[in-house]
Amino acid sequence: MNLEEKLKKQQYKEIWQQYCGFLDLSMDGYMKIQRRLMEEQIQLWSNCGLGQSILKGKYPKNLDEFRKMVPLTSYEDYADVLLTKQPDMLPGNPVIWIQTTWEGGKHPIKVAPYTRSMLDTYRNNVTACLILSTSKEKGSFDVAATDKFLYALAPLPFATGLFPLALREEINIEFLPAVNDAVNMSFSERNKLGFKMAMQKDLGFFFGLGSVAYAVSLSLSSMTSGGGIKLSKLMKCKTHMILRLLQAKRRCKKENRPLLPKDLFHLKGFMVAGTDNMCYKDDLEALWGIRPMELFAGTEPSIMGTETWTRKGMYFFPDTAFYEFITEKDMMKNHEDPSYIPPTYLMDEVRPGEKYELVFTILKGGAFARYRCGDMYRCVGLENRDDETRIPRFEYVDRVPWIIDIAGFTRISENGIRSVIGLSKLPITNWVATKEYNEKNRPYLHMYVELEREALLNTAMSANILKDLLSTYFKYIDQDYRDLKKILGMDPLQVTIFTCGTFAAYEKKTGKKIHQMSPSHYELKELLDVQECLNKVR
Amino acid sequence: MGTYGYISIIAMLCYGFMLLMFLAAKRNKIINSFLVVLLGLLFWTGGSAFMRAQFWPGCEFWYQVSLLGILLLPYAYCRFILAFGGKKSGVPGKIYLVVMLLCFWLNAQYGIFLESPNVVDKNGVSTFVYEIKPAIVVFFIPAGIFLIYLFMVLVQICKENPNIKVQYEPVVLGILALFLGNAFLGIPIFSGFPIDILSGVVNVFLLFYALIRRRLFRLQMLASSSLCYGVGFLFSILVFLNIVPFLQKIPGIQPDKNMTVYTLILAIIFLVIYTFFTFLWRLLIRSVFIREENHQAEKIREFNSAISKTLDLQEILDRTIRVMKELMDVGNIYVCMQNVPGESYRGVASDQPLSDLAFALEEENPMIQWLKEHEEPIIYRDFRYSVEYKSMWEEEKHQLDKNHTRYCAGLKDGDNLVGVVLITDSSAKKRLVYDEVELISNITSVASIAIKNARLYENACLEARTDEMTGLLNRKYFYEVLNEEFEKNKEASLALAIINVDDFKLYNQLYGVKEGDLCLQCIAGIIKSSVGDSGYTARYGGKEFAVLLPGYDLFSARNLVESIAKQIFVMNNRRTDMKLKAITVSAGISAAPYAAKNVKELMENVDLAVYHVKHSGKNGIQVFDTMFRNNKNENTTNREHIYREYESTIYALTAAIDAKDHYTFSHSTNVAYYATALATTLGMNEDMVEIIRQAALLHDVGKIGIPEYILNKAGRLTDEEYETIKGHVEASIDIIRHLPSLDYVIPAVIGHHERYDGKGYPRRIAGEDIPLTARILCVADSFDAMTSNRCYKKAFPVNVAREKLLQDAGKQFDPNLVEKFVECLDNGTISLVKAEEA
Repeated sequence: MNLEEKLKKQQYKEIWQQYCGFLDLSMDGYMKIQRRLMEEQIQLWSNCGLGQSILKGKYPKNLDEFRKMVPLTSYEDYADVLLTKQPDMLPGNPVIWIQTTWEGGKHPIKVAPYTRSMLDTYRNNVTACLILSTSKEKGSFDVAATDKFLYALAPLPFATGLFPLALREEINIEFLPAVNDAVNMSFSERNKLGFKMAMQKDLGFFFGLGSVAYAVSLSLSSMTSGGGIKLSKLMKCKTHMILRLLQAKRRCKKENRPLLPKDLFHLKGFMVAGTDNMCYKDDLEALWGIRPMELFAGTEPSIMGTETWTRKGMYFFPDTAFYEFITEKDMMKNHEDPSYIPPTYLMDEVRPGEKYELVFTILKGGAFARYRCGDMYRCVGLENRDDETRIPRFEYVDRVPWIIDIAGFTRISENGIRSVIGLSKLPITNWVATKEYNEKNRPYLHMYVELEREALLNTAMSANILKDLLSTYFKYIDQDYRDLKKILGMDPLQVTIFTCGTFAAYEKKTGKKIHQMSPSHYELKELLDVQECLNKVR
Repeated sequence: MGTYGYISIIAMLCYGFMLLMFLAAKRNKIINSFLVVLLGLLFWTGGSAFMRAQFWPGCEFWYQVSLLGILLLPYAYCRFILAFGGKKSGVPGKIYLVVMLLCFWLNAQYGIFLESPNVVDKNGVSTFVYEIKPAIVVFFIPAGIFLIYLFMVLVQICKENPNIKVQYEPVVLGILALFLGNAFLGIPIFSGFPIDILSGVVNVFLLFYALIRRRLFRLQMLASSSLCYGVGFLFSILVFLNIVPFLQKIPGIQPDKNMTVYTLILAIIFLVIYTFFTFLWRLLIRSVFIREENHQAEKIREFNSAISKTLDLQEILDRTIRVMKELMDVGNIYVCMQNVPGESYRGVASDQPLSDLAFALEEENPMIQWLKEHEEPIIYRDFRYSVEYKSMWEEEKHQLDKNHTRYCAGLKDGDNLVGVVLITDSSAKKRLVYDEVELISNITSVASIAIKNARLYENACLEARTDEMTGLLNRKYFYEVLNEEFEKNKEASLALAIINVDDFKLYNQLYGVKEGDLCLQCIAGIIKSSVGDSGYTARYGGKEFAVLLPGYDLFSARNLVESIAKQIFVMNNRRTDMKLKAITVSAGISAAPYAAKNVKELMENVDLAVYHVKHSGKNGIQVFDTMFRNNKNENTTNREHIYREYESTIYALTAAIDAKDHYTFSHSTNVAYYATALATTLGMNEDMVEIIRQAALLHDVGKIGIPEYILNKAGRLTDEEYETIKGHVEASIDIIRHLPSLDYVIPAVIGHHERYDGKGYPRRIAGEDIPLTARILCVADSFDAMTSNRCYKKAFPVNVAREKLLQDAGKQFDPNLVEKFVECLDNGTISLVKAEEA
């Protein structure tokens, strides 16, 4: 019986118990599920070709042995098997292959296999998210098969495209526009049509990347505020939507402000995913009148966690993956000295306040084991009285420092920047790159560069020229970077030119090289101070 | 009575029947409101029917009753709809009730709105003519307003909760039917036909259906006694009323004259009719509706009594499965049992003899965990929605899905979950019956108790029949089996073999009791696995095993025993930690009917065969031959003492010690003297004494490899030096190991520095785990060390050494041995060896 049938039978308690019951788990109960499912996964994974390519003849029998024998892995370890899509080598039969771009990888894309049981789990957890997004308190929710869903995420073969498919197995919610039509549309076409349909049929749910949701919301506002509304358009709308539109128009005129989505739609549930959501949440709440609920998902792990009605940190689903955590300190130590093997902590060993890099092993026949996806989370508590939960709660911090992720759209690595500089043939001798936020709290990539002394004398070099040139090459090597401009309309690069010799002076002063990617706030400040001093001296 | 009358009567009966039924039901808000609807309808229909029949007390009265019913109805519906939607009844309903009651009272008093109809006699048929006044609108307006309100409430409820729409469908249809029925009254086709009343009946049935869908009604309610009497009463009244006019016409009875008789007869007739109908109703219900229930109860009773009479586990399981299969429409039933806590639950029984029972449920399976904590069975479909289900393995899910598992019930023994009953669906589309859960619960709880008893009995039986150490049958039970099998196999053959372990006492003395037990267990294992299901194995005596082989002849029995003997012989080669002596066995075989006529003779023959092997050098297999009987006493030749032949080797080794360190040599000979003396005192046999002597001579042979400066160091040894000294035990073993013929001294040598309290070296074993020979050496060794002059110490006097021994009894030394040794010192059996003058 799926969600829709249960709703028909008014089994609300059962629905909550089935999908959101994991929130009531005790730490022991949670770990019991984790360990037991892991036992199954160890068997499957260790005995398959992929597992053996990493284990090299060893066969772990239990969790402890598994954690000892399996090294921490990254996509490189799987690339040969996964990119050639060899089902025989995998721990479970793949039903679908999900893909994403592989920035800085040896191949343009990454693919991840999904087994049927992974999809079953995914479906249940997606439904849990749907339910939780509408809930105001424990046990209460408001989902109906007649609801409409505006979906601002990429279609298959990207992971986000699974969402409507999985949800359709549970409840026949209408997606605006229909998934089959949406596949062949461009992003803006999809949004326009989606909004048009929403105007006619009303809207219950909205899900997108934080940044995209914001862009879409703004486009909604602009579409409605653009002068009068044609009668022919109104004719197609439902009566209550017409009433709502007229009311909203009147109210906005009175308050002298543009029409906002919240005037038109009373969302039941609002979900966002991706990075940098913190920057958009407040604005989105202002636009839609409801605070978005953050989900945590990725190509490799599918959906991993969700916030609840309190919107105060998220919980990892116990049956998607087996989670391990590396402390920030150990992670940095390992980054500087790759021979250092950082210890990992389990869900029942995390400490509140600590920042962790997530390591996961996909359960139910998944391919990835002890996989470092490069995401950082902060544990914000082990229990929560508001949610009545007894399992750890996390918040998403950002990508690992050596990857700069802008608005969940693109992931820029050190190698990426190097090749951009190389391609541009710009006389950049030294640089650091970091993610910063502008006055509107929007993220951008800030590059501080130092140029060759001769070049400064012989060629025209302003920050704007550098920015344009670098942007051109960023767009060339990174499709997502192009989309950032196209979809979000944002220009995510700023360049600051340092006085010649700044980096050398810094090194002299501190006795060490600065981290080129995301140097700490303190390091960057020191670098700026050094440059200031240099300028003063002159 | 025309059609009108009949339909009214049928409608009335229906209402009355339902009223009685629901009066007997467990009441809640919905049921109560339904009762009010029924009451309204009953008043309306009953009133109108009685009015037409012009029953007592008269048209006027019944008309008012009927009117009251009609007026009540909207209110009753309002209550029902609200209760059905889970809402509280609001103020409008009450206002309506008050207004309507007021109107009714006014009308009843003064006939303002609608007066009671006039009866007009037309050709002998009474018709009722109403005088319609404009004031009648007063009735219609509030009712109309109220109905609109009701409709709005309904829309509101459905809007708030779209899913309840489906549940309201019958209710709305019912009201619609009622409305249409009344509207059709005006259509000429229906004139004279009580379409309104018929629609009332349809309406009630639709409401009834809505209640059934909500599971507010069960068939068992039909059998309640109040309903039986009520229905009986209802029918009797009807019949009675119909026959009274005939009674009055019976000649000879004049009601006016003999009133008492007449009343009496009427009362009796009524009573008879009443009893008859009540009885009839009960019979009908019992045999039609609740026959199944009775059948079920009967079956469970049979099951209870059957399983309380048996202690056979398999039978209990079979019966449990059978009763479930009979009482429920299910697919297959499997029972899985756990033998030892911690193990998985393996399939042991099924309703299908050909079912594959080679499946198991892990103890960690979340379903098992759930059953452990709860008493009621799992409905698998519901379980799939629980959080516990999340930790289920895909393979487990697949297994359960493949069988279409529907229920899973636990068989409990106290808090222990000893077994699990899996019940599968007969077809995928079968709907769940909630009564089944209760039924399963009942059956499994009864079965659990029986299973507990059966297992206790089985365990007790097993304990009484088997030898604890080896797990084989014990001697007593073996005799039982032997007698049984002898009787069974009179026509065929029955072979018996007795396998006697050679020199087992020596083995125990060499390696300690623990190793001895281990050896017996290994032998038992070998015998058991070799014999398998083709015979019985028993521990016949301390070191004697019996093998009973039904259907075996002498030849095949001999082959089997040979294979067993071979396996036993190489058994100890597998040990890597220390070298153990090879075990040999002496086996005797005999078979009936070839060589024995009865059990006693068979046993005697086998014993004789074993005896024969023992006396012809052990390590052999002998099939009984009649010739044994005749030369029973021939074997009396003394065997050559086998241990003497190594004397020269020992001499060579001791000479080597002597050359290196004369002290060690003299120490070894002294120890040999003390140890043999002690062993003799202990009553050990000649062989053992000889072994101890040789072990004593060789016990420090490893010191050959230790530098002399350490051996003769005057001062305190450093830790390193002490470690080197300690190494002499292993060094000794290393030397002796290369002389296979002397391996029997190893246990004594390797253990002579072990301490009774387990703090010695090299193996840190304690107590009786240290071979007896080693314990003897330990005492002798220490005594000589204490009483000898060394470069680092003077010799202690005997009494000091004696005290020291006593002090360390139970710590370093075996207290029994010390006691014996001291006794010997005291009585002069052992005397101090005079130290050699250097």
